[in-house]
Amino acid sequence: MDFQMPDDVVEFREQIHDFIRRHRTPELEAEIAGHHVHGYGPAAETFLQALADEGLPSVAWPEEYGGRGKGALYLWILSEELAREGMPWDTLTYNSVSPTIMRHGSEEQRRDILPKVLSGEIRFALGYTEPNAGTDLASLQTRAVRDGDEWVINGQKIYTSSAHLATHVWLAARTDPEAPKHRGISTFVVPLSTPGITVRPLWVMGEGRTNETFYENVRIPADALVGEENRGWYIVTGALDLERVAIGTYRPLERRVRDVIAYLVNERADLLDDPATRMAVADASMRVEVGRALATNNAAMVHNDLVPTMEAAMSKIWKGDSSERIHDAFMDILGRSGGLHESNEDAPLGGMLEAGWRSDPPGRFAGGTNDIQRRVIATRGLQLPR
Amino acid sequence: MDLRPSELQDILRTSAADFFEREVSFERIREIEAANRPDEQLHGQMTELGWNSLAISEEYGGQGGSVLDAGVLITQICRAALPSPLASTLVGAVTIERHGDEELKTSLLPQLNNGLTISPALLEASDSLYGPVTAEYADGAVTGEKRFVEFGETSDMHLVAAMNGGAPGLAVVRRDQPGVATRDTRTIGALPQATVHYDGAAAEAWIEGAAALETMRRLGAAVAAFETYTYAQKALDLTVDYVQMRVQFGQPIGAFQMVQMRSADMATIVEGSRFLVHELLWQIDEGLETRRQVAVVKAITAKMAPQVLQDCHLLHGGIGYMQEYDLHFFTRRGRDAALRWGSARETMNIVTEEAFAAASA
Repeated sequence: MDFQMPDDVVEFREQIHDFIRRHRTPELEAEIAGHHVHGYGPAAETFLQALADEGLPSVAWPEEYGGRGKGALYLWILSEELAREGMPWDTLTYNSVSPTIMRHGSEEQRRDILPKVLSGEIRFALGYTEPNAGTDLASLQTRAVRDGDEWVINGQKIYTSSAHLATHVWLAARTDPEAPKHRGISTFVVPLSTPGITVRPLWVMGEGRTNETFYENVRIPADALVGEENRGWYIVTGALDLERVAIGTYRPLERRVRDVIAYLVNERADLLDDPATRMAVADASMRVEVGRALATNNAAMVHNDLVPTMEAAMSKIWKGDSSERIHDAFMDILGRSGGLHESNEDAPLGGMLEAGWRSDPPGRFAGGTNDIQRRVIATRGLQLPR
Repeated sequence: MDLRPSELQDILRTSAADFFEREVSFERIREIEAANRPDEQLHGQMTELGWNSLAISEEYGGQGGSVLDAGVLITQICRAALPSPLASTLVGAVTIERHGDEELKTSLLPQLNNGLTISPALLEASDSLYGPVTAEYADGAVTGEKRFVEFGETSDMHLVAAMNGGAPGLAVVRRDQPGVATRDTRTIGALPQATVHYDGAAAEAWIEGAAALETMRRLGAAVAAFETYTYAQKALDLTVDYVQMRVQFGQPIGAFQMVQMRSADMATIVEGSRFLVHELLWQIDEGLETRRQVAVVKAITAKMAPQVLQDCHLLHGGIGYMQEYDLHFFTRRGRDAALRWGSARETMNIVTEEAFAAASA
């Protein structure tokens, strides 16, 4: 057993921090501070573009597709370090969809799509969930029907987050309604500019929006199909495993806990000897530590060419549940002030706890609800009967 | 970075698992518990295999392995529920190797190959890892009282935390002498522990310095965290097997979602602990461990284990509560290990202190 990060990975981490130092502008800081309300803007776009120009997001891709041929550990390090510094990052595009296209796409698709991801011409939104297919994703009903050299798509997707910012949707649609539900789904890359697509905002309890997307006789070329026809379920579950590794990152929580403790030390000396506060500080630190363990375990598995399934689910559950508990505990410790909205000048931590608590639910249900993840652990990991 | 066991660790794991499978039945464990002293024959066999000096360098007659390698052995000892002085001896011996002078190391450490056992003796009236040390060392003799000394009634040497004119350090005291009186202490883990009264007990050596004491604390806490995790893992493994086999309402109870969710939550915190306790032993080998890291890992295991262990009993129902069934060995030992070398309350307070200090820096 060796827990030492390889030297070249440590150097890569330094390279990322150096990049962040060079590209952390006041405009970017302002966008980061308000992004949970307004989304990212031009400064974040500039940052992501500079990141791509430096060849960082494609670090794990083979050189022939503009990458650097390094392992998936590098991609994990990159998203972890960006998250630790609170920098913008497109998890879905870089950690989930692009690696999936790398794995399942044709040679032509890889040569066409991946360079455009790097140049910023392509940003993905996910088209999985439907009004009647949430946790039971395999029962999705959006149809894709072959018509000559085209596919014709009809149906509705919901919670298509960032569809209003993305250029393409990574779509799962039913291509064989007669087959068993897991064996009649296929995956497509669909430009959001295609006629027949309507995007309608849904405003969320946290801040900002997600979307409903409607597909009405949307025609896309035959080669928009990624992977084998009717094998899409297996492609999607693989992409979801990758997504969970990424959203299981503990770094934002680590940052949050650090900020809260600094606030207590600097502003609330009256609470530092309070036993409940002291236990909450310890508990939050322990939760971050377990999060680090589960996430690093995933990274090590990926590095050693093992596939984290149960382990990715554990990391994701832990992060989502811990975030909620930590926000909640510190909100209570601060009393009424803990619930102050950021619009109040005297809101502790700029209203971070109020906004954090309000934004916690997706951490527990997105990417497969935590309760379904527990089923994954029990049945796929512990081999309990289904 | 490769978290899979090394070739050596694999061999060690297999041979230790085979050894305990062959030599140590639960009937024998029951006899050892009833006698309330370690089985000398077993300890002799383990010594012959080189296990008692595994983590000591070859220079001092050891096998040249790491503390993490020794962790592989401790895993198998815990999974066999064997009351063995090997882990407490490891804590004492590694502390001596790191802080003792040459004379002590060359005279004492090779005796590990003859089965020498060492009991760290730290806790006093406060029962606290960092509580006041009042035992006194003066003119080559130790006076004071120590509590919860593991295998304190049978071990050859005690490594006694004491003050020498206001300066902390560790006294190496032979147990078998008139100045040492031991009294058996029964604890939840049913592992031999003793209250020890030292009355001008002759010390063979004095290791001066707060650093030596701190090394002993960190090693003790890290090994106890490792054991706590291992007992929880073993109890969970038994439980996962049981819920697959136990049929009620016409199906294995493991098919029920309530059971699955509880199992998944246990598996998650146990898996996180698995990583942390192994990483901590590795850090100790590399000299990278910090007071904060030792405390946070100890706190995590001490907080997680009792709940996991009780939930294992819940899922087992009546059978798990029976003495003739083996689950209780692991749940009692695990609860005890969580208390040893720093309870959750104490170590959580250290984590908080360290967090406040880091934020003030």
